[in-house]
Amino acid sequence: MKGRILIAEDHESIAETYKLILEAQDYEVTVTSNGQECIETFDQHMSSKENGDSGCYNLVILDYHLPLRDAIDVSKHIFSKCPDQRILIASSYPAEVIRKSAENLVNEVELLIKPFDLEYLVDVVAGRKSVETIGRGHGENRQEGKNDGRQGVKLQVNK
Amino acid sequence: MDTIHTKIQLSAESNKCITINEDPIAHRMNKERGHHSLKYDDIPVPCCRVDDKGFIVDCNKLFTDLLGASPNELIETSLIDLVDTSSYSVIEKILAALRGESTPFTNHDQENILLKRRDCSFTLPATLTLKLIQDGVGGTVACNIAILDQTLTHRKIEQAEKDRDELIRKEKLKDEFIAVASHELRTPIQPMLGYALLAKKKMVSEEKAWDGVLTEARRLQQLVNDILDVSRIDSVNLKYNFTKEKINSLLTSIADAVRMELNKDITLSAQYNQDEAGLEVELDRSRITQVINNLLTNAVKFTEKGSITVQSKAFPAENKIEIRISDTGKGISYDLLPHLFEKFATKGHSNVQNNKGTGLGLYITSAIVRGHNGEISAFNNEHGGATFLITLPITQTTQDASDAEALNVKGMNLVSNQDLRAALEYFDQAIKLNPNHPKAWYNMGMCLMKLGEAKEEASRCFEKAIEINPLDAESWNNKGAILEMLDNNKDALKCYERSLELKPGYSRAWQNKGGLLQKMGNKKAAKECFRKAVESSLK
Repeated sequence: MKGRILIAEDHESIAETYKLILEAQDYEVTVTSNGQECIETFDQHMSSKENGDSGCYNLVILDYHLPLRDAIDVSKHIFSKCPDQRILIASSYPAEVIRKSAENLVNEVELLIKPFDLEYLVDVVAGRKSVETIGRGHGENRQEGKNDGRQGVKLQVNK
Repeated sequence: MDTIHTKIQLSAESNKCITINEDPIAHRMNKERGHHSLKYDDIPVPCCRVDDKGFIVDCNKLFTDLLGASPNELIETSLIDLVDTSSYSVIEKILAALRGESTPFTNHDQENILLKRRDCSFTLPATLTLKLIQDGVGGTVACNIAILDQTLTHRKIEQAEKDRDELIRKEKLKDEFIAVASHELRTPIQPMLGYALLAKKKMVSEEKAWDGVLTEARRLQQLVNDILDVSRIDSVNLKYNFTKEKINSLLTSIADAVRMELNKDITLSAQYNQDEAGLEVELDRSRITQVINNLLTNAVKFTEKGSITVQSKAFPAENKIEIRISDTGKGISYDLLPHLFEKFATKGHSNVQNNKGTGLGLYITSAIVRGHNGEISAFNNEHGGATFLITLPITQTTQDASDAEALNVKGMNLVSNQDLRAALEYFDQAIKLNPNHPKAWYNMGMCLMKLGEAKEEASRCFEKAIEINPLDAESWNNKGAILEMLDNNKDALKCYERSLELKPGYSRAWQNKGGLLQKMGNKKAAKECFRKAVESSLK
């Protein structure tokens, strides 16, 4: 098994397509359908980990506009338990909107604009392609480029 | 220098100009300079002359007309009494110049003032220019003043500002709409891409993949149509094709169609009074079908069990029909209720999990109902579920009513060109064709008031306007102004107060109320009103 992925996506068909493609890549995928459920699942996973295992997932994929708690809220919670958690926010809202609301996040998250190809998602998950990172620490060095979902553009990831 | 301030006697014909022999100032001036006397009535702008203390010694007919007074009332009046309190600083500058103090004021400067008419509490924006008249030895003797009415210009500026604000507001709405619409359009494409790819890779069954693609494609289709409708509605391009339709057959057939697609345990029925079975209503068949369909499918979406009813009831005497669509479902959340008919209202709420619709249906529905000159409202039922209530006129506006509006518009154009008498004719005709025209009565009252004539009739016009539109602050204010002109101060005050209740930031009404209270002797309250007037006009 390549790793564990936690997904929060309220659109059932979309969640299902993520699960199918990622499981085919040998990831263990857990799907939740709202922000609250995602937080609960994350906490449960943290507390049931084995010794030595950090308890973080390899990746958490969040839809921006989740019922009950949105992606930014969920990210804050996750970072408070696991500062190094890799988080990817997927959304069909305009990038500017999400950049702005992620301004106050203490850590960075990756941003993927829908619609995107599932194969592109697999590449991003595996690290073969990179996407825009947003969140604190990116005010000055962030590339002010357009992120409108056009794929194949390699953006600098500021680490 | 001493000024001999003699009382100027005027002849019985009030507009005779004053000749050299009677006017000590002109006499002195002409003695020094040898000019001919100024014949005021030959001057094509309203003008007057004031002495070195700012009291009017002469003026022309245009001036007396502008101020709504007779020369007797104006001669010996101080300039201060001709203007609104907000213009006192300008008058003070003039008086200082007359006293010989050095001021930043120079000859030929144009100052903006607010003139107060003497026959009512009307104020007019105007510009004032003056020329100081010196005697030969360096003293100021008098001042000639010309005043130009700027009402027309102000109105144009106000309209332009209103138009500009409206444009800005619309731009903002458009930007917001585009942001949400693009999100909504992108969302169904994701699963379509996903399923197509997975099916190709044989990672999901074909049936499941095709179902997914089909569902999302249909959603996209509905959304695109809705967005087009919204764009037509907003650019006022949505045309209705009114035909006489048997409303109850229409409601029944739509209910039947929705019932056929139903797979929940709910009853769906159309109810109406038997003797209204053949009732014909003038409407756009396909658009009203869209409306009823939208409301019924919403009802189905939000009702798990129980019933949905479509009830219609006619009120022929009032030319209206009521249609109620009522369900026993989960009702409408109180957060959502005030915004129910706005664009994408259901999309802003992260707690609404059942928001698979386009978010535009109710906006379009409400626009169509209003386009039929009807009304729509929604409320939660006492015992659960929600009801949508639509009222529609049975027959749409008659030819007479649209002709009346055309006449009203012609009248307003004439008013813009200051041709008040001709405008009156048009408003009168408009009212004859449509006695309930919302603006024609008001416009007629305004014309009469501006002409200073037929005050009783003007008062009746405003009363009629108020009858048709009781919430119109402007009508109340003008009714007050007319009543003041008719010396009915008590009722005038009530009208100003009602106007201010309806529109608390109405500067003109505050000013009027202040003027009236001052007349009635209540200086303190008057001062407060004037302060409010200035405050409101600065907002």
